[in-house]
Amino acid sequence: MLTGCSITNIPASSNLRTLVNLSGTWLFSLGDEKDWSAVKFDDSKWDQIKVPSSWENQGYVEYDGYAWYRKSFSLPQGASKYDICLQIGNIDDVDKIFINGHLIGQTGKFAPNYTSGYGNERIYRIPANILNYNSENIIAVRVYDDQRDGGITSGPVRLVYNEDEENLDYKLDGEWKFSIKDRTEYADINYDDSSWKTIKVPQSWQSQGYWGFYGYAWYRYKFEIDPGMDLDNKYLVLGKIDDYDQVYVNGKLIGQNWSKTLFGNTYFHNHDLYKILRGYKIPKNLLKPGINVIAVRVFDHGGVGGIYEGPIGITNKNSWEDMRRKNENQIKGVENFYFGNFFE
Amino acid sequence: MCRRWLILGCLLVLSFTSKAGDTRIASLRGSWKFALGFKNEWIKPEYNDADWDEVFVPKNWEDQGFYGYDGYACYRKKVVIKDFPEDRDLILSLGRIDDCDEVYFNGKLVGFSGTFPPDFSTAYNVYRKYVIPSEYVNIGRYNTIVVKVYDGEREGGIVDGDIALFLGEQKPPFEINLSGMWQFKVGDKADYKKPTFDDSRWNKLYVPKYWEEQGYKDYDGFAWYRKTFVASEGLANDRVVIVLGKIDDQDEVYLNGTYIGTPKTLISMDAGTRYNQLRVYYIDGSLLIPNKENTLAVRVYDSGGGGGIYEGPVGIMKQKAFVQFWRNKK
Repeated sequence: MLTGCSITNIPASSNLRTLVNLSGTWLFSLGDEKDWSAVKFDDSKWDQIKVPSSWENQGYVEYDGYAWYRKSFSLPQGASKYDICLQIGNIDDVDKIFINGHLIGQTGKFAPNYTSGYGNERIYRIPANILNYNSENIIAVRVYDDQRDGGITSGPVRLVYNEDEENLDYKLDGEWKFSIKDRTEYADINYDDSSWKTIKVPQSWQSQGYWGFYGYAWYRYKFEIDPGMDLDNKYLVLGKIDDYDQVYVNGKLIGQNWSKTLFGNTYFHNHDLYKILRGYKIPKNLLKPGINVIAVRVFDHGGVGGIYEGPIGITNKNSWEDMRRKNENQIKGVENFYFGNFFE
Repeated sequence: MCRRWLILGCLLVLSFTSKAGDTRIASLRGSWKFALGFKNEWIKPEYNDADWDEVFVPKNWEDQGFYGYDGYACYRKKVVIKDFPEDRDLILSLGRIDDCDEVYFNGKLVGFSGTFPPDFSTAYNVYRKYVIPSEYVNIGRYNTIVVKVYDGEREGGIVDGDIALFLGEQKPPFEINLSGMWQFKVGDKADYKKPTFDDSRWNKLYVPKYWEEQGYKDYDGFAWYRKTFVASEGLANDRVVIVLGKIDDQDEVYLNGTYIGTPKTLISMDAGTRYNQLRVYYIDGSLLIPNKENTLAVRVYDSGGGGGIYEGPVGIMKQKAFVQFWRNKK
């Protein structure tokens, strides 16, 4: 279903490459028990079900409520060099994803304050330290369906990596600091963010405990540069951000996709900004060996929010130009796809 | 002019009822045994009706020698059913009956429309379609259909329509079939959900069928259905589904006094209507008492128009077999 809401939630994600295809047969049970996320839980008596497909389509006619899906998977050789994300199609209505017993994300809200996450594309980053690269991994998905069709209803269902990662000199994805307040001093290099919560970057903040939050938020990240590195002519790549961003390096604003009239009477929301890959030239002599600080102010207009898709890192001019060109082509492709469907 | 409209009306009724997927297995149009009055022994399949009159069905009895008769009468018909799949119901179509009737198949009540005196109400404009559970059917032998009719005034009897037996849609292979007679009461009391509540003085109502067609004409509001059944140990030790067909408009289901279903299915006046949705309750079999009597109590609220558990399938079976049934059916 394409609605006004879901339009802003279809990222141009064709630079995602499949690492492991997870569609096919999963284990399935109606109900809701805490230990169903556990690696050691014995699911051998569970029913087999096809994913993706609504559970109504698989014989669970007119079932509304809780159900769980489980599946084991192994990673191919060499997978440890990628930052792996789980792309798990559309889920009707709310989901919570566990890999090897660790919570990796949630879309929508379960009772008592139920809100549907239907229509949002699910992409969850899997922290490298929870994956088993040489043995089996278990994925468990808790789903709540409020009405009509339920379950992991459509694809793709797969582990992916972002091919642009390979063109980064430094990767900066991982655990960042995060605040949903909005203060100018957050841009300062010396601001003390030790009391802030952490958040996975890239992944929408809605799927990391901030469901339903829109508006201003700040990200901060400290990283160390080894002495002797070539720091000239570098670009900071911040993947895709929903919707607006202002980017500071070591306290200095280096670039922005920001609407000056955000709160003026002439406010006009740019619905396409979330599709655009962010890359900003880092001014000469701003990066230095030792500790450097990135601070990003974001304003989310609605739907998915924050730095939701990679690559995240530092690269050179040629690599950045390549990424940008590809992204421009993808945006064109997405628009054609969308309108093509709409008018057919 | 009037007559032409009447014919048009009949055609409309016919086209409504000949649903795609229903296979005709026997026509019952033609000669039926017929007697005025009614005696309970006539219900029995073995009753000898050799000396009864014969009338043509469908046609009012006034035009067949019983001019001016109002009151009770009885139709009997024997039919051989050669082959019949167990996973289907038999559907008995009796067209329009003026005014009200009770239908017995091999001695078992399978439904009624309107109500007999003293609380007489007509159902002359309701197209009769009775669902006969497959276990009532004698395969390869005679089956006896007995129709008790009461006519209040003017023309009477099985007056028009398609008189035939049809094969119903494939239904899930229930362990416990819940179609048939339930205890029924209009109104709303919290006590009605309790298994210990004595419902023996309640009226009987056929499920699935609108209550409007069974003597509760124009009734909107709350009503309760109750039925008891015995559950096997196999059911009680497994995941179970209780299917209650389609209900107009909202329902709350209690099994042995325990509410089953999600909180949002509780009746609320501002909730959207769910009348066209099949009710399937997925429960743990431990809610059942094995080898003993279990009580289902269904609270129904109808906000207008037809009301009640109006369309099947209704029954209880293991979840695994239920899921498999739908997978095979695809």
